Amino acid sequence: MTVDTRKAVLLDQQLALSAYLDALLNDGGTAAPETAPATGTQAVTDTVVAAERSPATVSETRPGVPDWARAPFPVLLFEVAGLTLAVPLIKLKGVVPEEGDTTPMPGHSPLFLGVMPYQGMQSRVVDLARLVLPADRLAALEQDVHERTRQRVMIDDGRWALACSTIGNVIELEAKDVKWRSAAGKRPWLAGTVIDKMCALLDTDALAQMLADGVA
Amino acid sequence: MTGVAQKAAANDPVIQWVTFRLADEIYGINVMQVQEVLRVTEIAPVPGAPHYVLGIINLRGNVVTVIDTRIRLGLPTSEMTDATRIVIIESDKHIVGILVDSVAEVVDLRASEMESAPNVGNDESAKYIQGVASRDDELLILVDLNKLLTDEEWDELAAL
Repeated sequence: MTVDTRKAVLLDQQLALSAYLDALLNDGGTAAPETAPATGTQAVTDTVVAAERSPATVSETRPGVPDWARAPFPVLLFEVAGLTLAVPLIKLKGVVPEEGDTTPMPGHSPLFLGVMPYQGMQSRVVDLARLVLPADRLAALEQDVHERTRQRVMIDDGRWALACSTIGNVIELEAKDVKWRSAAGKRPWLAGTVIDKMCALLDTDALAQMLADGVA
Repeated sequence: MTGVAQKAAANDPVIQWVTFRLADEIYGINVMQVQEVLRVTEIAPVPGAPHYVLGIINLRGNVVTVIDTRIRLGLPTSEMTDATRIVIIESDKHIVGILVDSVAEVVDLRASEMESAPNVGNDESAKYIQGVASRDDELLILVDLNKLLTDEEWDELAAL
């Protein structure tokens, strides 16, 4: 593969991921790409075209900017089955590795991996990939459960542990860096998207509420 | 014990739980609902019974239905071993046997040591988990036997 070809593939992948993140903000529907990030030039082209046909993005309205984002705010990046997510440090309780101390609970949905001891309480461990990935990628998740759940991102004061693959860096964002999500939509756990960093920013309060209400 | 301590103890009663193993986890059931624990005897299969029913046993002249607890809890099945036991339980006047991998000990738990059951996914079949408790670096999953089966399922077992 030549340098130019490699650059083209990288750009295509970035465009595809950008389109996917835009689709998340627009709450999917028919505009959402079926695969994300796409591979192959044709799939990428289809994805980008679909995104361009989407309605206006959230960036044109800013009702979703939370108070903690009024000033520059640090976020922790982490990977969930190939997708990069970000959690504001102000909402992060901690990060712990998986140490074989998760007790599965019978009779629950696959979303719920079990409970683990954390700072004197039993924290509920959630397979975050099942919540954020498109439906067509869920079938592939079964093949690498342990690999993609090696770390736990603790939110809601440690009540919930979000299982993920790897922990990334801490970066600082400003409100203008984020395409904020509007109030309505099917993904209340999504605060917005950061195209420059190719990641989705979590609304941990909404996510915790969804999980507590059993509506995830 | 002082009056204050007595009042505190009354508000935090101790409940005894019979613990048993299934797969890699430890479960607990209220000791008041446990009649006895038996070694595995001959279990006669019942044609047409629900899939989680192993069959029936003769317990001193009485017919008792035995449930495969692994199947009931959605766990993978496994071969019986010398440690496998049938726990005879009473739930709301229904007497049934539940097959477990092994029976451990009776554990005293204060109400304050029990944490409420996790509620994720709103799965109806998980309603039988009453709570969890930590003991000796292990987690006990506390089972509400009254919710292990629905009223209709209890009636179906009674008709076997």
